[in-house]
Amino acid sequence: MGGLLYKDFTAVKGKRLVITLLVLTGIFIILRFVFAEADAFPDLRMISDDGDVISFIDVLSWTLEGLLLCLSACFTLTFSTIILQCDEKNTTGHYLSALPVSKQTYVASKYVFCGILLYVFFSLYEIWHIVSIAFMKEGPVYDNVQLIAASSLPLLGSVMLILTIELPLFLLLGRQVAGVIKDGVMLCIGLGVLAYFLFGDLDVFSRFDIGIIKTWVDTHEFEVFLFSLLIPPVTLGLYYVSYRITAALYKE
Amino acid sequence: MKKQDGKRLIIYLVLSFSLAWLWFFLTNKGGEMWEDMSNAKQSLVALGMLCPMIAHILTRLITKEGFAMTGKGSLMLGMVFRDRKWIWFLLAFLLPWIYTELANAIALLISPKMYDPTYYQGLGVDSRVIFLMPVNALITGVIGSFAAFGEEGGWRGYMMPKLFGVMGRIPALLTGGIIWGLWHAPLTCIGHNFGTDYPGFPYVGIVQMCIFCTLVGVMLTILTEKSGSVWPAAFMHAIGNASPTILRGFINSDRARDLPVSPGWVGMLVSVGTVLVIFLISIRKSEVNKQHRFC
Repeated sequence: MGGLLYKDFTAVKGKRLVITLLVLTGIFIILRFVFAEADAFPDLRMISDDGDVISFIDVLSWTLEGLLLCLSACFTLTFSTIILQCDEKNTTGHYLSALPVSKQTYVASKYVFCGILLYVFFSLYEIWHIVSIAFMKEGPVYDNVQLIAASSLPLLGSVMLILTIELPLFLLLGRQVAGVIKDGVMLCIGLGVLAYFLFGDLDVFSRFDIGIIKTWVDTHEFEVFLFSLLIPPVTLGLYYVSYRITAALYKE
Repeated sequence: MKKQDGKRLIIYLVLSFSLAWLWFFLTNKGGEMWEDMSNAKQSLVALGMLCPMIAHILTRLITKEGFAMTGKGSLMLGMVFRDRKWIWFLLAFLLPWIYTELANAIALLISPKMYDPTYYQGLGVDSRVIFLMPVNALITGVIGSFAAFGEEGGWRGYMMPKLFGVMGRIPALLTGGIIWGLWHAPLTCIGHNFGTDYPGFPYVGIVQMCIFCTLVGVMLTILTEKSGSVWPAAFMHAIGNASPTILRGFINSDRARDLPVSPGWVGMLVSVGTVLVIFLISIRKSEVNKQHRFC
């Protein structure tokens, strides 16, 4: 298993990625410390209409943090495809059949690799978030950062759910067929959104009020807590079931 | 071999202490006390937990020991569930809840007037949430285990195997605990873990932390040694930090000013019992797992 994971790590140019992420994290932390006190740089702040002081550094920090979260999701999904593409391109299956590696172990290595990627990216995001928020004063930017933080777990949970469907497709049907299905689904979703914008009720957006959601969240504290508590085990459970089914089918 | 291990250990300890203390003083330049800090600032200071793992990696780079993931002298990052090794993972998930709850129950037995059925309301928590706290600690602990992994990857992943090589089992467990406790000294001095309101602050707190770290360290080392991985220790540490307890929502420690012993000491008493239980289990399982001992 270790060898298979290392093979995938090499396929996604893991060393370069790790060094890049570590350097970026280092730079982010240093810059956050240097510009810790927004008051020391009066040119880097502005006053909003509501009278809140908004620091440019805080906004930048919030943007970078959000960007990292989005990139984490994108990277994980892209890498899952890359590792399978590399195996198909290099006919890894033929080599593996000559080695004492079972098909189940091969399937498991793909699931474990994607799981590790998600764990690493989530941990990295958490570090950025902690550093980012530590120097912020309460205000609109602080609220936004907290909102991103609250959505980080559901977002990465969604990525895991996508992998739950995508990995079996790629492993069982091959890159080309799975690629066609994936593109077809994406196209359908895109067309659906387009159709809604052309023919749907757009007043929904003008009536949308985030205050209603906030009020609902405040009054349903337990339900929100339970939902956030259940996301990780349910997602992981589905991921495991997907692995078991894929491994069983892949053997045949 | 002993001499070489000793040198490597010194390099690791110098790096681990200097990095963590530097981080501490950089993030808390004003010398703020723990209870006066915002949650965000506390989390920033707590990021120093990553320093032992960083020190571990730097030490390996300096000593050219390599970065093997599994096996003897490795980073011990693999997870093996065969040969009933899953038991150590299960223990890692359950033990923090058991010993935290036991400590709270014993504290309540010693001083029943601490029991306050409405205490959790003051914390702004729904009564149903209180009963899910252990599950919450388990899930958030495992997902957010990177900080605990930062510590365990260094202490259990590097320091303990080296200490075992240098001085043997029992002295290593004692020395490892004291080193780990002393590493926490700057935090203990600002009131983390035991607060500031106790006689002999902060020196008694530092000694108390050394004893506590020795007891918990024994459990974590056994888990690491038996499973051949630092992950059970990281999970146990993370879950323990996430406060997996229901009873805490009903204990008002302000009513315990006249307690003969502080709740911290009660916790240690329970830790001793837990260490003994793990020790007995580990002896029973020792034949199965003999080949995975790191020394």
